[in-house]
Amino acid sequence: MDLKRLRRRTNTLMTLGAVALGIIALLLLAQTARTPAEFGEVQQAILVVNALGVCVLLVLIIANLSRLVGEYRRNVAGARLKARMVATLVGLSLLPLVVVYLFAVNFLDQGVDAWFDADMERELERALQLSRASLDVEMRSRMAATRDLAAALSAVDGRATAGMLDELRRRSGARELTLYAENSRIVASTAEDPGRRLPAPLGDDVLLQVRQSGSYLALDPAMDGYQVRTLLALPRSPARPDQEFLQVIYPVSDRLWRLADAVQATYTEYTELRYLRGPLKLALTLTLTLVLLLSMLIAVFGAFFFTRRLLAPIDSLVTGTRAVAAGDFDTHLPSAAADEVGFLIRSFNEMIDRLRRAREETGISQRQLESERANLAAILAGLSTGVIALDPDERIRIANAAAGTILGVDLPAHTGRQLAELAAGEPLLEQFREACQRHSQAGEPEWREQLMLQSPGGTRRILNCASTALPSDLPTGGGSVLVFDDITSLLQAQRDAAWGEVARRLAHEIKNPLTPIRLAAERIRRRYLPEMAEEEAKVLDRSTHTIVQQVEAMRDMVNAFSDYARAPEMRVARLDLNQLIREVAYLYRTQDMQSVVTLRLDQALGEIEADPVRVRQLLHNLIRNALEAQEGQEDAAVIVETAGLVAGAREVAQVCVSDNGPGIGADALPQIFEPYVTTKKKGTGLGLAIVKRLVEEHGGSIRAENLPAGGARITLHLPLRAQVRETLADSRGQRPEQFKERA
Amino acid sequence: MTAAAAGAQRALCSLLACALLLLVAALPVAAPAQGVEGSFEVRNASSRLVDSVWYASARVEYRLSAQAIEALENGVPLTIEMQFEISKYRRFWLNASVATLRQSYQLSYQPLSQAWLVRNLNSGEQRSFTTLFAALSDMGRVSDLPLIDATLLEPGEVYYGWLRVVLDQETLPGPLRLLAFWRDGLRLESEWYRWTLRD
Repeated sequence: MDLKRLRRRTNTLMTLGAVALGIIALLLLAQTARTPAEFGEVQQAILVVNALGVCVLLVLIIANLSRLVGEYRRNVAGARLKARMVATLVGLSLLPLVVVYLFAVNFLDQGVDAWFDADMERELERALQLSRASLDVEMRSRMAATRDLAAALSAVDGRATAGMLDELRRRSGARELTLYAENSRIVASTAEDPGRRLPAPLGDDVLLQVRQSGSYLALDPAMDGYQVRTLLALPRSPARPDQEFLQVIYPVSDRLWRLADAVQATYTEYTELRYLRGPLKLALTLTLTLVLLLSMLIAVFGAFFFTRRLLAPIDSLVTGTRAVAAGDFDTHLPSAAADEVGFLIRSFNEMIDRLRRAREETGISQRQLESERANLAAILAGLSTGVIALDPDERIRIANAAAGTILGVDLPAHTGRQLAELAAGEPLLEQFREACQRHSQAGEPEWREQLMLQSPGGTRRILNCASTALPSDLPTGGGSVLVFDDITSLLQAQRDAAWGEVARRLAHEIKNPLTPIRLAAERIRRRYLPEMAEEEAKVLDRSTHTIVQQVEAMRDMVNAFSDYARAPEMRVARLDLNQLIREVAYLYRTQDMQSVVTLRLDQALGEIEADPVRVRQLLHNLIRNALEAQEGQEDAAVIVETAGLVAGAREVAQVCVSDNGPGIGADALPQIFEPYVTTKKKGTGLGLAIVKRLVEEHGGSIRAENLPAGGARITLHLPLRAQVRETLADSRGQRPEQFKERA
Repeated sequence: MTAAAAGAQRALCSLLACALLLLVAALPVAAPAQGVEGSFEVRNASSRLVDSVWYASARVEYRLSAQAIEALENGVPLTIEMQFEISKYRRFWLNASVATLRQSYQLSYQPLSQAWLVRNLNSGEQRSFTTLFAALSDMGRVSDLPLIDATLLEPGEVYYGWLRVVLDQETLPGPLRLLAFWRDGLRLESEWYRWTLRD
């Protein structure tokens, strides 16, 4: 983020710098145009500034261009529009620039040429010649004067030369008189200004000319204007036999030299200007070209810059739209200026806000729905009542765990499948489905029935089942909901309770008259037996004996009923089940019975928490029951087995008592644990009923089955821990009430 | 060729020149001193000690390029600078510069007198010549130019005198100076000439 900002700042700085450089360059050019003479002064600055500006702009443009090309290739949003806009802007700005440039160059070319005029040049030339001519007159007259001086001097002896020179100078008005020997050595010299330096030796060119033509005449520039320099070879005379040269320097009249100098200055200036015309044009064109280049680069860069600025909101709109299309509703575009684009962006933001709110609301309701569903699922899972929701084509839409447990098939795992295909091989579910089908075929939308299902083990399951049709205008298109409860245990409990009541009443009602009957029989016997004849006494004795015997048998029976009905208080203690079994079996082994009790005890089985009295009683009942079932059988055998195992997530001790007898009749098997159900010749039919009650009091379970090889087996499960048992017993105790509440 | 076409061509040339200029400006200016036509050369230089002052004498050959002569004839004065330098010889190190002396001459053409004027810009002394050759040869003869006071030099050390002559581009008119960027004719300078200062 910071890097981006830094880059943007650098870009802005560079842009400002480039534009400033361009403006400075343009100002410098304006300065140049005003005073061409100062061109040289600013030219370097112009070049440097322009070169710098060009470099900076080139860098910026290349960076921008490569970015644009990259975006174009990657198909970034807005790249095409940007490229088109940049091209248009560049074209629009470059065309007039180039036109103006060409016009300016042409104008410069012709304008500079127009400064120079052939007539003017000719006139200047003439003026110069006129000046020369007037100076020439002056010079010639001076030369004539010099000749006179030379003539005068040649007559003078060498010794008087110095004095003569001075006088001659004064007379002629000359500025300086110098006499040179042939080797250009100064012989004598005199001057107006006594403090001046000695004249310079004669130059080679001067000497050459004076030797050839005898004289030299020149106009020399002096410190104050011009001077006429005349040089003559002195005529040889007897007084001056050596070759000597006389140089006389005259001042040029002030007015003349000033005029001539002015003419020369103008002429020189004009010539120089005319000469510099070419380079000047070239330099100006060059500068103009540089400025053009700079302006073009500024224009190109400006095109990039403004395109980016202009398209930035559109870019962000495109990016925002893409983000929204991808499902990102958190997009918020930066607000733009208060123009149409700004309005567009604000509208976009509002739209996104609304969309986001709508989505949030949808999300909330969806979450609510999901939590409702989860709630419902939790409730269903927690129900002990089985619930199945079916589609019209009998597909399972919802089924809870209890439904699976009751019908013996894991229905929740098969949601979406048809009941019919699940029912194959599952007798409980098959019977259930048939019952349901019966009702639906009868066209009953709502029904309630107690279904009796036959389980493969032979036991009966009684289900209280109700069905309600779902409204067909639901999105799922109708179907039905089946609610059912396994009331087998409830009915069993009710039956047990009824039997208990019967037993208690019977015991009470029958036991009371038994004692008087017995007493009456014994009284009759005591009173009348001694007095009777032997025959009659025999009858009486047998009859009273029978009465007493039958009353005793009846008392035993009533006592058994009483035992069944009366449940003494549970006294739970830790006991070694194996040891207890050994003790009980020992009792049977020591008696002189036909069969032998075989023990197969699991030594790993630890202690269990149970009531020892009850367990002892149920063991007695079971063994006795097994022995009685084999009464008279030669190969009678009783096998008692124990094992520790986990059944239904709880630790239980399993006790199996098998016999070798005839087994249990198919009719009696489902009700074998109910009172007065027996297959033996002998017995009250309460033994197994009591066993079942004792097992249930411990929270255990019991079942009976016939062995394939013959004989029957009673299997019972006793929980190892009393706590588990209690909770089980509690839940068992609550069930009828729950059912009642629901009903 | 019309003026417009000529202008366009010139513009094109300028564009190319601009690019070239940028290129040249980026490179260190190390063009050879000798031009195609003109050349400056120090033929010899020497020095002698008179009254504990070193005086230098030199002979320089100035051959002006056609461009330089054209400029002169068109009234552009040329400034030529003689650059003297005294350096102390150091055995294991670069020589140390002790003193420098610059003597500038301005050469110009006087259309009025049709003479060539040489002006010593240091002393203001000026002389005119009828021919350019005479002016150049006069300018190329330097005799007994006071160089340095001998007391400034350490006795027993070896000192070298250095001389070169340069056409001063700084004093050229602006447009010509720009031209001198890439025209050898206006970039005239001699090699350094070295001699040993000894009695």
